This record gives sequence, C-alpha cells and structure tokens, in this order.
Amino acid sequence: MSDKFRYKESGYDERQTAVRGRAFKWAYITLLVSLGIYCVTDGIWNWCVPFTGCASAISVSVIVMACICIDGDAYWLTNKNLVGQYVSFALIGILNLGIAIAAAIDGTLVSEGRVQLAGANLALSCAFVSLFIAALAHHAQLQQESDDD
Amino acid sequence: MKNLRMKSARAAKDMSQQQLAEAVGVTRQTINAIERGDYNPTIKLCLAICHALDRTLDELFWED
Repeated sequence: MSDKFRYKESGYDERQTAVRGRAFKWAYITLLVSLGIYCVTDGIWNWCVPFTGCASAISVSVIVMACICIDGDAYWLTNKNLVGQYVSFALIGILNLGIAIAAAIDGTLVSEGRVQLAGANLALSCAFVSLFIAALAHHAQLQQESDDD
Repeated sequence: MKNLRMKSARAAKDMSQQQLAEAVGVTRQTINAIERGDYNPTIKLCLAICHALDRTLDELFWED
C-alpha cells in the first residue's frame, strides 16, 4: 500500500490524539480544582507546606491524565515497552513510599501540625502506585480483548 | 453501532486487526474501536481503510 493512503502524522494515531486531548482537558480542570481546594483549606487550617500542597495537586491531575490515557491506549509508552513502563511505575511509587514512611518514622512527615516536604513523596507514591494498578488492569483487559479477537 | 461490514471485509481479505492497523498506520486498538462502533474515524482514516481492504467508502461506512 502506498504511503499516500497511510494515516501517520505522529507517534499517535487520530483516536489516540483525541483521547490525549480529553485527558489533558480533565487533568487541567483537576489541577485547577485541586489547587483551589488546597489554597482555600490551607488558608483556613494551614495544614501543609506550599511545595507539598502543589505536589499533591499535580499528583492528582497526573493520575487523572494518565488513567484516561492508559484506558484509551494513548499513553506515551504504550506498545513500546510495557514491562519497563510497569516496573518504572512500581519502582517510583515504592521509592517515594519508602521515603514517606521513613519520614513518618522519624517524625518529620508532620511537624507543628503541618505536612512537610515528605508529604509530596507520599502524594507521588499514591500517584504512581495508582498508575501501576491502572496499567496492570488495562493490560489484563487488553489480553482478554485479544483473546476474544 | 458495530461496523460488521468492515469486520467481514477484513476477514474476507484474511487480515487480522493488527495487520490492518499496520497497513493503515494506526494501532490495533483503533481498528478494534472502529469495528465495535466506539470510535468514529476521520474521512482520511476511512479512505486508508478502504484502500487497504479494496472496498469503497459506501461499502464499508455508509449507513442505510
């Protein structure tokens, strides 16, 4: 078949581009809402340091974006190195969780009633562990689909 | 609505979803989504699929 009729403009096909657009839209909205919630609650209770608050908001929006992309087979590493992708998610999640747990044991996770920098590690670990679970679930779904096909 | 005509045309050419996807330059999941009726392709992709399956737009995508 000649290249004239091949649909290939970038690494993603048209459906994936549409899925990514939807994912970025929802991630942006989530980021704005999360930051708004953080600003309001921190203004009232002063519960965490700004870096941790922003990192948590970013983590939530990344979860939203990546889950939509993974569900729509439009994640950037899809079809390239799935094992590497899953291992990376798990490793980053476990690493950050370890740092957060170590800080909790040291008593530096929460200081003077405020969540400190290690809270950002906790938020990131939640994000990456969620992505790992979402990627595994989607992988299982894809395998079931290919069996059906 | 499922696109059974596309699925049968692909089967008639003895092509798998993966082979058709590679022929038109999309992912297998996109072909699967079109056949299930979950994704409405652009005219550009429709044409690419028609050329790959040696069918016309009417034969594959026209709904009566």
